[in-house]
Amino acid sequence: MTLHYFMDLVGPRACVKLVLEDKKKKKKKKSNGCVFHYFLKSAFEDMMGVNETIACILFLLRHTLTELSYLDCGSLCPYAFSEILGPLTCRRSTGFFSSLGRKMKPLLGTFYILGMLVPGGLGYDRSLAQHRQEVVDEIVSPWRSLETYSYNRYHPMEEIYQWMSQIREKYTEVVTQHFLGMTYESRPMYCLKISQPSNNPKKIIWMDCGIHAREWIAPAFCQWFVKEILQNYKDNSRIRRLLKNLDFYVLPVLNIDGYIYTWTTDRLWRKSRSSHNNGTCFGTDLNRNFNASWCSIGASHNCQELTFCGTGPVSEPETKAVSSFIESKKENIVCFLTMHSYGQLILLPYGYTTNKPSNHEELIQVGQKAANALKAKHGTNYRVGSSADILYATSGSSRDWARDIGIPFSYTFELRDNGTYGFVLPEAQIQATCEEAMEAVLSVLDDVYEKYWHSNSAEKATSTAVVLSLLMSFISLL
Amino acid sequence: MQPLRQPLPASRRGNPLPAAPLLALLLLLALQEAAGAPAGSGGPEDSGWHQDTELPRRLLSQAARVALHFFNFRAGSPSALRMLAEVQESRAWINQKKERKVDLVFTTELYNPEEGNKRLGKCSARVFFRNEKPRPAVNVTCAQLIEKKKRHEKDYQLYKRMKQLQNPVDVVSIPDNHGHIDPSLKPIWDLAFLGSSYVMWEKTTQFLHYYMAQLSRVKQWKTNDDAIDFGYTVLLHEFSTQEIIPCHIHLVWYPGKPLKVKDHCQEPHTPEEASGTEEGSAVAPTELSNF
Repeated sequence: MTLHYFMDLVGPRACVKLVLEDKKKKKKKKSNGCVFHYFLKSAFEDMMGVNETIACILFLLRHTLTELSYLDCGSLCPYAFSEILGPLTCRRSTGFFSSLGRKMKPLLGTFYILGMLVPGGLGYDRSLAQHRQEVVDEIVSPWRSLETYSYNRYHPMEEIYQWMSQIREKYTEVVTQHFLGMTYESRPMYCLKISQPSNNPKKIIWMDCGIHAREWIAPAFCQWFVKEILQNYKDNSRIRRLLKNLDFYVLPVLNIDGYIYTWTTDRLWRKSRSSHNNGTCFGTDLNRNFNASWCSIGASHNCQELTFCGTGPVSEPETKAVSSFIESKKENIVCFLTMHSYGQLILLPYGYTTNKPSNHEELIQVGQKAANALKAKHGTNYRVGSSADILYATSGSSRDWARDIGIPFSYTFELRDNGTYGFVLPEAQIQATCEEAMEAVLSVLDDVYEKYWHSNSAEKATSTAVVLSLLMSFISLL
Repeated sequence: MQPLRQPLPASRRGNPLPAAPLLALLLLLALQEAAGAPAGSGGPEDSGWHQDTELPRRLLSQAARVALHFFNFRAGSPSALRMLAEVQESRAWINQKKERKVDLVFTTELYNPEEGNKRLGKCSARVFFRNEKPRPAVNVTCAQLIEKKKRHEKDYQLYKRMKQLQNPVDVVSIPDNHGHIDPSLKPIWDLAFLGSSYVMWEKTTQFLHYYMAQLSRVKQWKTNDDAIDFGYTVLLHEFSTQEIIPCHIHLVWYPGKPLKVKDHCQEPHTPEEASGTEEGSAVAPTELSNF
């Protein structure tokens, strides 16, 4: 059997026509469809037989710069996949049809395709594929390497996907990429896990950025953070120590659809891009959609408003993706950080009530210490307090939800500035903003580390003892 | 709160007011009231006012900002615009009608600082919020940050640069989506910020406060008396609702003269723009304003 595939780039989408040809029986099966093109590394095998009646189109999509292929299994068929690390399987799940999938032409049958990284595979006609790929190469942007990636610029989503891939490939000993779920517009959500392999038991630090689309400095910070950790974990003792017992999970852009919308259409868009009221109204405020006193205060049931809480708690696929992931690991998550702008604030739970969580005092202390560390860098003032106290009442926020499911250190960071440029923070300020925020985050992580692995106190005792004994011996010489 | 019966050093026009503690400010305002101050700026000795200990902290910086919007507008000087540094002292009162009075001492810095000059200037203000109504009454005094002569010079330079710009200015947005403002277009931003300060003051209530998010659609006209006559659309960000409000602003400015502003803002979630223009013109500086 020979499988031909033809691929064309149509804007942000790639369309693929698949022809499964059985030359002996002189039969041809054809199918086609389009997906948004993103890249991920996968070699996948299909678990369905060719004669399956349930149709599922598998699209191969080669990214121009790397040998990657994308499987848009989730949006078009009742099979959803969980992690994309190596061999990918289509697994049965319950009802995961997006509206995009529903619009797709009915399919003729099932196929299975092996990724291009797996040579031989099902014996598909490589020469034909290669010809098409050359055409593809001409259309899209030139190669960009990690060495020339600028952390002082804002990057569109396409580049951030690519960056994640490159990071994963360069730091393969500590970085893995995890699939969280699909956005409303069928884009994959990935987070990066940074973990030093060891026998030590690990606790988890979670950081997400870009839950509000227009807050561009936040995804910029997530990328900066990853870069700093990876460039320094070998030489920097502070970071090395953290990685001994902590794993970092970083989601650079949570509201991917919204973020892309701010690049293509409306720079000041905030919400997601889900469709409501028969396509007359768009977007849920994802930070009002979590299951924490959902829509009780500081949020709206009206889709027209910018604090629209959605049709129900965790109604949005983006919220669901993050919630499920965090829920599955909550026993081990000690710190939940969510990055926003603007306002220069470090916010504690809660927003939905002025009541304080049990560890409020500790959160204030750690927060204030972080704000001090931040100020020491470039003199910038960040204020610390609970959201209801120093900002305004809100419900359904990810930070409040994280605290309520038991994650002790849960903070929202509102990065620069104070309203001068607001959301449209100049690129010239990215570096300083990220450097100072880095100090704040590291300060929090140090405190978290101290709390759970208080090795430092033992070291302090030892060194104090040494000093004392030296002093004693010195005095005795007098 | 008993006002002290002590003489206060008179503030002479042109001299910077010494950084006055809250007490002195209150006395000053009480004296002003005795001299027939505008209605509504009642001192603490008015019946019905009691101290507001539950004042939300955010209201303090909000009050400081709206006082600054008012100050910037009234100063009418695009090269000497100020932004909030820190609120240092505050006291608040509330009455049965849920109206709020906030007295503040705060520091400010220049929006366009000179090289290496990051001086802070102290301001004292009383802001009176009439429940949910906009246009809070503001009394504000600030210590001088730039010498008067220098400020006039800079304003005139800005004026000349504006005059030299192509007409109409063909610009999509300032700053661009990446936060860049071309240096040649900076005077437009400064002047727009000045005009927007009026509008932001005009719309601020106890519950709503604004920032200038982005500028779009700029158009400049010529006038007979050589003033800058220019119209633009500004996107205001309202913080508690997170809404973006487009406002069309038309201003007329000549260095040293009061700013004239006309504005027309779009109500959120309505298909058409809200009807009714508001016109505001600069009030001549009162005795209390020195800079």
